[in-house]
Amino acid sequence: MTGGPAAAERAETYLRLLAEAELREALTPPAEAAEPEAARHEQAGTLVHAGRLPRAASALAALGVIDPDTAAEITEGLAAALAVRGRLGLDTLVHPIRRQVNPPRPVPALPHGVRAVPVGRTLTVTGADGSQADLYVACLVRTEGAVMIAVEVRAPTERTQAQELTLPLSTMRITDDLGTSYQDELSFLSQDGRADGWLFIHNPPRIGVRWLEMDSGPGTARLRMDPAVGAEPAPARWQPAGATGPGERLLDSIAGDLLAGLPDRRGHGEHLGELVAALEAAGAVPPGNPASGRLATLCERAGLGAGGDLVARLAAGDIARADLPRRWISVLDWFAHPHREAGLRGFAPAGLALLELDGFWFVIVGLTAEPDRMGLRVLVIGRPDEYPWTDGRSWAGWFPWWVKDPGGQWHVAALDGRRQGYSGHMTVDLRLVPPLVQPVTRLDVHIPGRTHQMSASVPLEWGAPDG
Amino acid sequence: VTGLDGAGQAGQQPPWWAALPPAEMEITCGQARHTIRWADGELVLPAHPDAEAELILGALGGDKCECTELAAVWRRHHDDLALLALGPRSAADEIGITWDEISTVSSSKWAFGLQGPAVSARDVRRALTTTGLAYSPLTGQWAAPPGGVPESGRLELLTLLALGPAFGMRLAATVAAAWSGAARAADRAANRPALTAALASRFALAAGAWAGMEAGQLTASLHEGPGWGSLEHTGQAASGPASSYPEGGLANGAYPDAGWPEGGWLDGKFQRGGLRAWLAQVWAAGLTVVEGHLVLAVQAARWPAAEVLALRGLGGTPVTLQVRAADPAAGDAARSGGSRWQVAG
Repeated sequence: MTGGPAAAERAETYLRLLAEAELREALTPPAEAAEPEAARHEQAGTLVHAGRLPRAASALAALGVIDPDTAAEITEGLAAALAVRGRLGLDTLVHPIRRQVNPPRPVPALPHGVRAVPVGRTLTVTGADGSQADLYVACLVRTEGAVMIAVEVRAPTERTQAQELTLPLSTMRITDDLGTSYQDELSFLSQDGRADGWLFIHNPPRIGVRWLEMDSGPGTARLRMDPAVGAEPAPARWQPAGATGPGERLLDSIAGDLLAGLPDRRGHGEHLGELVAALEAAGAVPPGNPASGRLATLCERAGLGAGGDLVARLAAGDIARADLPRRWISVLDWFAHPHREAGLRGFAPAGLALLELDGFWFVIVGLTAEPDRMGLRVLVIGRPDEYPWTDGRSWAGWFPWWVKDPGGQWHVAALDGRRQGYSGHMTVDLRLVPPLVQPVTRLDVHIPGRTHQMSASVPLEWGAPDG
Repeated sequence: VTGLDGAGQAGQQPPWWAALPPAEMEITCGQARHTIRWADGELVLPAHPDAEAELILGALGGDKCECTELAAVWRRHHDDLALLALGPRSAADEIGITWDEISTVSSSKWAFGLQGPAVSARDVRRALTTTGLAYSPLTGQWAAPPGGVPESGRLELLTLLALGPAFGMRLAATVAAAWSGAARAADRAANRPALTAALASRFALAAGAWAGMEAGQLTASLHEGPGWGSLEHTGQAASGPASSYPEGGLANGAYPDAGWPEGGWLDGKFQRGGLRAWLAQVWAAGLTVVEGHLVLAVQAARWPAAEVLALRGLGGTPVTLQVRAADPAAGDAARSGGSRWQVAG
């Protein structure tokens, strides 16, 4: 447990006392006439599923301050106590509400032998019926158990809506320089009908293979990749995370997410004051910590309507204002002035984009630019499936990323979506805010970690064909 | 102590059940209605003088009856902290769950027959088996297999709570007393959050109403040491005490008489003895507040009389009071969660 047994005991005590307070509140008779049973059940259901207790339990478990099973047991205990008092359905007693909080966050073992090869080329592939599609190959990633090729299917000509854009997997072949065919080992993993995804070779080529060649049958175009000459981990700079604990990093992570909401003028932070209070009471952040002050100051300044209760504590002098980090100010200033619309479209594959941190490999596949958003596509290799997506807090230790362009402008790269892969990997989309307004060939990427922050300079290759 | 038959000897605490009257009820047992009775800290089965032998015989293939099963479940949960999290916070905190409802929600349908349809002992045994419990003739206990059967444990607790408030309060007192011994110091340390919450939730309701403070303004904590503990009024949470009522001060009367400032927090610091002295003896017996006095400990008792240590009001000095159950003959205490008490003489 982060913080040790004493912190865990303090957090557990806090949650148990919070559960008692919630129970008292639920049992307080309403001022008006007797509430209908359905209304009482709804109120109690909110308490145990979306109230202060599950929110605090989830945050503390995600931070590793308290064992997730203990946190779940406390939430379940409140549900049971409400059920036997007629405030919840009795089925709650036989269908516990486990897994309301995040499971443990073990430090995963870093997979060995991971290589990433930027490709950035297009192959025209032909289906059995003669139809053609362009297959844009962004990069190749090799692990011990698989070869994954990041691809995007693109129509060579304008197509009607009825024409489905699919990968002609039945005709596609991959062979190596030793004559081995991997046609039977191929699968294509996409999601939600998206044209981009991963082409898998489940039984990867043995070490020593010089090249892999992809085509869709005799006489069709071919594309050759070299799996051996993979990128070494990108040259990275490491900086200790300093005295900040996981609680403060969580608050900074939330601040990054708030900044990422600036384009939409949205702020997900209606309970930030409550969260900070919970972290303080449970000992997950020290009273008067600068991260609380930073977050409160940001809420006040950004005008997103987020963290109203936190801003109130700021106004009351309960939390001290804090200087905002330079990168936050850079983002805020960008939105304070009019900018021409970003004209970038397409996909820029990243080279030498293999980064290792806290037992994960992060492979920056590339940068996508669409009319309304710009983002980094990142492959996470390790055990990302052990970190549920429920509220994103379980990922707060590694996101958002911060990106600095060559012009000195900072961008926050916040989690925007994920696509589960096979066991041991996941593709995440990071929204880049503000967007780049012109092509750049290099980005400085800063990734938070548990004990260190990592910085790396990542090259980009613009000029890929538009989709 | 006069009138208490020597239950409170100098330097000795009375038994934790001394201020609790007996309680009893009838349940369906086989084809008959049998009385189960709680007295002097134990659940007894007048219709089954050798319940242990019956339970073992049942495990060896004979029918087990509901009474003995219930006693086994009671014994199994005599120190179950989950009971304190689920069970009553005060005598007014009515838990209305019934065995019929438990049978409805439980696929195993192994509730005992109180007011609902009688369940045969064979059904009970089958249900216990399906919940994964196994009987050990060596220990005479039903026990969960390795890995535990949490749902069966919860169903057992519900079954006990469905016995009604009188038994619910007594079982809570049993659990509190079981955790208060010196031999369980290590267990207490490992379960301090649950014990603190169990104590604080009940203390907050009782003392909050007495002090005119919101329950959220009251805190309670556990400390290892003799005596019942101390009560402090603090200017703000977790800050230094503004007024203190340490146990050691009882002898020299070093209590301020000035009223406590408005607001702030009231913090009860309960020593290990306080877990038993307050939860088991004071709270479970319905002695928390008697005619405007906050009762801190029972010094001697034999129901319906008790000698208690109590505070008259904020800023007052703890005094020794003789109290009596208001109407012991009415049987309220046996049916409900606690007695109504009044200052004697």
